[in-house]
Amino acid sequence: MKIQPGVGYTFDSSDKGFTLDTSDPFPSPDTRGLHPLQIYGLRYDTATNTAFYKVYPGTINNLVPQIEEDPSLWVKLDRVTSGVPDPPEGVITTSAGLYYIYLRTGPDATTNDFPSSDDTSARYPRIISVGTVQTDTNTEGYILLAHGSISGSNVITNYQDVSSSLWADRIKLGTATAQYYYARI
Amino acid sequence: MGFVIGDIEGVSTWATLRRAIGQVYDTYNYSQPTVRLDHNIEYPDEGRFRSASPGSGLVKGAFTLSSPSAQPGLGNRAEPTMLVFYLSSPPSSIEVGMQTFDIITCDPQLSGETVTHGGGTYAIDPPMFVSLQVVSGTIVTPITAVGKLDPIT
Repeated sequence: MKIQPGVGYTFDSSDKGFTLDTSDPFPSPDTRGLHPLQIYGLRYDTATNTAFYKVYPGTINNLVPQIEEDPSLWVKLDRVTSGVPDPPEGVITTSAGLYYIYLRTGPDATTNDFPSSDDTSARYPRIISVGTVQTDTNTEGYILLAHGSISGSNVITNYQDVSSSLWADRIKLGTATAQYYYARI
Repeated sequence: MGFVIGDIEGVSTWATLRRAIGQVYDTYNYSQPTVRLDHNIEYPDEGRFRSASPGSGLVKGAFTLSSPSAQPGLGNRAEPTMLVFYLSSPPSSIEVGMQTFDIITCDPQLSGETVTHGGGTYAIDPPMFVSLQVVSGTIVTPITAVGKLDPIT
């Protein structure tokens, strides 16, 4: 008979033999193999008829984006609670069953730095879920991280559109709407 | 010399290699963007030009690197600028130039194009990308039109 480690238990070995280790009975979802800014942890809560998502931490211009965990409560993707990674979860917003998950950034209203590094500002990099395609403005540039749909039977189908952390630049010509440019890193 | 796109500061995206076109004439200077930061550039709607071709409206720019090992960045970013200076002698002559353009891409595209200013017109000539050249005419207003370019409005 062979006994191998599994979910919630493992074995520690020493010169006195083997010990069953159950100190982490409810391990967090495996995030091995995920890339920066990848959508994961998609789930549909039938009790509240709400879909949720998480985003694996990445950066844009060396800033870790935020996600709206609760209304008006924006939390960085790499949150740590009591020394343990505690990734926040956002709500998926749909229109006609479709959703779009964007990374939104804007220039700082005071310093013009792009993106704003003021994490209390809406111009700080933030990940949003919306039901419609977004359009750039002078204060908000959007890049689509992922999109997908939720079926009538609550099956979530997700398509990932960005596969790495990003650099971004903003250029504005005269009165024309600012243009935003991105590069993978 | 090549640059890595996606670098930490200097060439973060390909847009960092692109510029609008400014102009300097006599005491007027429209050469620099009004917002000039590592990742945010704004050109005002006065005295500047953009490419009339479909696309971003930007043209390839250059960095004035002091040595082969120097890294591109905001400090050595060169803004392509059309220069126009009035000459008192000989009469009815002006000095014009195309300063810090990316010669490889801009010379073939812009040479031969007509520049219109308040005192007349002149044609862009390849030597103008290297040094100031004397052409006939007087200038009383900034450049208002250039072939293949549109004023930034």
